[in-house]
Amino acid sequence: MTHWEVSNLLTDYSEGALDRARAAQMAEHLASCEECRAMLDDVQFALRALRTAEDVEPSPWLVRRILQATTGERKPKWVERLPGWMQWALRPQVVYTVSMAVFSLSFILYTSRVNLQAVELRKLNPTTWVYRANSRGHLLVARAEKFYYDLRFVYELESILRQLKQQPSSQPGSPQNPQKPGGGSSDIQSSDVGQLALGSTQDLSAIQFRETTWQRGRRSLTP
Amino acid sequence: MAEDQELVKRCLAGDDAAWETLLTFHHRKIYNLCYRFTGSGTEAEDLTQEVFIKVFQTLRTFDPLQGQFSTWLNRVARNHLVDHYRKVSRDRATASLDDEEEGLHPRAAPSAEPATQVEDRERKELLQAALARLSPDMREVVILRDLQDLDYAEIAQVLGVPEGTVKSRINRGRLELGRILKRMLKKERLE
Ligand SMILES: [Zn+2]
Repeated sequence: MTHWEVSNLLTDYSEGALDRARAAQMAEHLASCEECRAMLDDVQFALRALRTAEDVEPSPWLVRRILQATTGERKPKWVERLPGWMQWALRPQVVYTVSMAVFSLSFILYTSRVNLQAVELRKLNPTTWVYRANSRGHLLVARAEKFYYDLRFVYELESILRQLKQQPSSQPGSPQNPQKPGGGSSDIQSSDVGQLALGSTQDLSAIQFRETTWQRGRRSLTP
Repeated sequence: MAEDQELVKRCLAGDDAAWETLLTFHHRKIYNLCYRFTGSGTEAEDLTQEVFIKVFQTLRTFDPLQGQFSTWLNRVARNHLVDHYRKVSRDRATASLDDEEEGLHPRAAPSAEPATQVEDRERKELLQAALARLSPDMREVVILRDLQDLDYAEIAQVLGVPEGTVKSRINRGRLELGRILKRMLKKERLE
């Protein structure tokens, strides 16, 4: 292969578009010719620069500008009438982040019972907040527990009634099946602690799960 | 794409929403093409607008049997750029070499920018300046092939030249661009 032929095939060679025989011939020439190696390096240098070049973004108003110049005045959407920074602030990522921050803050304020109309400097101390949030949180958990047991009591009662209705003509003297009302109630008491522990760990894992999915969602939202 | 053809049909029937969709879908590519030719954001926006006005006026002449809409659009854009350059080069015939040198020395970046961002920007400006130094016929094929991702056949259609010509221009264009880039980098490092 001559220099001239090689110089004409630099692009094909670097794109792998040559058949095997030609590529081999070219490789042979390149191995012995410094001049052609330098040319190949120039081509590959240009390709690297071009391939790492990113697209440039036009301004977001370009489409509207062109529409005005072609199909004529279109009533701008309310979003487009806002100043630039507001349009930026309305991007989904920003809205999501801000609303999460507001939600978290209001939750902390709620649990720590901060009255925004009578804020004292002393009350803004983070340790006070944490303490209040903590005790309030415990109160919430206790209430939830109570509700849970109330509900459980209702269900127990219901199942006992159903059982009684299903077996109205059983022998009055003889013992029923092992799960008698009495046994049931003692069962509640004995398994209370276990149930509570189980319930709370389940709740905790549910919260953790929600947290991780939220974080994952957040990560995928942020570019 | 068949979708484009459908949109064109609707545009010709007077459907403004179809035009907006078509425009939204294609304006970025055309803007990038203009930007690569001019190196200026505002100039590229003006040119993009002019291109689409032309497209709007001549949409009826688009023939789906002769190729894709995007190829036709690129041809309209390219012809507009050529016209624009013919005009501009007449004005610039007397312009001093200083203008061209300016492209070589990007303005000093504000110190607040992180180092990588500065590097990134300098790299971009370097490529743009190198493209500007390429002869027009090589520049356009390199831009169309390597920045706009058109294939050889499409470029041949856009430029109205045989595919072989496109190929050899790309070959020479890349070689020349690589040389210019290397020279510019060497010069920058010496300063
Ligand atoms: Zn050689």
